[in-house]
Amino acid sequence: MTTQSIKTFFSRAIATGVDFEELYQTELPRVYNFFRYRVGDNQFAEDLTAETFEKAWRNREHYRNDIAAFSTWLFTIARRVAQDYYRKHRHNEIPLDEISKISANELTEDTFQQNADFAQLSVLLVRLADRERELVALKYGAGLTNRAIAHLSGLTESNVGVILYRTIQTLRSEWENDYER
Amino acid sequence: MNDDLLTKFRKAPRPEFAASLYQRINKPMKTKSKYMTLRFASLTLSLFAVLTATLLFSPTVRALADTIIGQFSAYIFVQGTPVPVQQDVAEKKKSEVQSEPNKDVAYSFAPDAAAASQLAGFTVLTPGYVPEGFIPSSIDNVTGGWRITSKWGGEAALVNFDNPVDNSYLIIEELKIGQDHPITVERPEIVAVTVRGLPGAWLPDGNDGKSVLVWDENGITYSVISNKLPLEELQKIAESLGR
Repeated sequence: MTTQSIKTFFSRAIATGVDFEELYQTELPRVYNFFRYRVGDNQFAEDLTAETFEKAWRNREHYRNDIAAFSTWLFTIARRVAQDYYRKHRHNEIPLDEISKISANELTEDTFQQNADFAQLSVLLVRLADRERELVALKYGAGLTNRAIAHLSGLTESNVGVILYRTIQTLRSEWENDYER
Repeated sequence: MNDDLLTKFRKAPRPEFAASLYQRINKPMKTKSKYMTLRFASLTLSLFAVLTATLLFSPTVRALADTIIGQFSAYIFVQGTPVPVQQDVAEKKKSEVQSEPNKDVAYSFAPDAAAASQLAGFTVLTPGYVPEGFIPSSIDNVTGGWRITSKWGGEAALVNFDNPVDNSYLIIEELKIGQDHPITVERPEIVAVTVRGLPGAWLPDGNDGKSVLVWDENGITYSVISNKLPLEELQKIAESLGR
């Protein structure tokens, strides 16, 4: 992956003198982890990440903001890709117990506990309402700030904070309940 | 469970995935050149010239074109009898557009036109005039505001109003179509009208009980839709957009 090629992809932002290699490598894992938390499956997350970057490339001439807004623009596309995914798979969602099986198939000895925990978290995330699940994915998957999430979702920053707080409370409670069983 | 537990599951994408994605988005950039762009532009112009000549000199093609009265970026309206819709399906469709969006269609909510414009990627125009009795609809426990949804490869911004007195509704849709082709819609009657100084079409009552005023402006297809408002009211609403 050459710096020149990455500069071409982010051609709008060349004038700002930002390190584009770093920018690409920063945004790719953020988008990928947004989808992992959003759909709970690594393979789907890769597919949707690829779709997001391909759409971003096809629509790059529509990006007219400064470099600080690039992440927001990219996540606007990512959210739309996720919404399309759920619209297409609404009647074909992976059953809750299947998520555990899929994740269990990926287990290795070294990462057994972490993968088991993520499988457990995926099951809990599936139970959340769509909006809450998206906010969790943006906050904890992509690592966006509450302000950035508010900008993307149309909610106020304080509203984002309150919803996330309540969602975490719910997740915490269900997590502990599931472990006690 | 704490925040650390939630964030610790982040992981880096597989290097093979990152490399193959890079290849996929990088390949067209390597092949795209100024020469290719010029060649594509000249081919498009040639095709346009051939089509124009055909329309001008072929009576058959002109007759066919005359049957298509309303052609817009997102829609082609063709005079014809729409496929009959069963009564219960029609009722369901009415209730969906009136107060509840289709549950299969995911959308983002924007509280005002500025936020809607940002989400939709184009300037969303707010109506300056809404007929008396119409109030912003409540959808998913949110009253007023815009819904932004993906439609035919592009983005659509919708704002809904209800009139609880006579159970009528008003919807304004602003659609910027993407790479998909416009959709062809059969309507029993298509009336050519001028909207905001531009060519438009009024589609009176179809079998779904709604009439539509539609026109193109700056690459956006605008539709003002209602189940009871007459053309004059739809025109007034259209004229007030962004003003």
